[in-house]
Amino acid sequence: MRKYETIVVIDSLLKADEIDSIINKYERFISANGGQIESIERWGKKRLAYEIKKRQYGYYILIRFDGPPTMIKTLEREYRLNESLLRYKTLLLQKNEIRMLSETDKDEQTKETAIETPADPAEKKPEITSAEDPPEKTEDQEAIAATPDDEQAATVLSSEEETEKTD
Amino acid sequence: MLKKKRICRFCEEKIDFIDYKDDKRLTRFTTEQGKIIPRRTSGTCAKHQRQLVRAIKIARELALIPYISDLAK
Repeated sequence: MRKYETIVVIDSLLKADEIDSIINKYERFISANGGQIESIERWGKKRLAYEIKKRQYGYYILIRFDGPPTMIKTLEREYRLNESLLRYKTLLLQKNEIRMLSETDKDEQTKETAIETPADPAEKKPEITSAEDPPEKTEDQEAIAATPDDEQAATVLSSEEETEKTD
Repeated sequence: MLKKKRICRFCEEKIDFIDYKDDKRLTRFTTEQGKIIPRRTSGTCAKHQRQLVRAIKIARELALIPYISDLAK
């Protein structure tokens, strides 16, 4: 048995009960073929990044399950035969991913118990690493990471300039 | 001269798995047009860049992020 996750994008123009029946169908298919469903996430109607079959929106479903490797082939075959699916993908969960998933579960549990301790802003300051980068570099990083406060970066930069002058 | 210091954002946050479902994070590592930002610009380490590229490509297939954004069309 291996852990898999499968994403299915269903045509969102279908009626709600039709979508439900499609989900039920694959749920049953997985359990009938020796799989064990761990969780089902319904992301719901989401805008597609690009048009697929003239559709702007898709209904996303994510199913995590344990199952025998032989079942994946038949599952994907089932997907291929269903024309109301816009996209599908089944992936083997990586070791790191499984660890990450279990960690986030733990995190959520601990968060519920201890919300009163938000991260101390003073502690976070040294973590901003743009200190020794050249100016264009920091711009890049801001674009990539959306660095929270520009002011800090600016002050850090000016201090850097000072050190240059002393050099 | 100024010394260049590039820091991998994933190493910083100690992330050992880059999730293809996290489309917000992935779009930060693509240009406005939807191209993948090279390692030499983003500073991502080789290990994480490989994971990132894989994640971006999976996300593109599932229409979570665009191959080419509307801006470029």
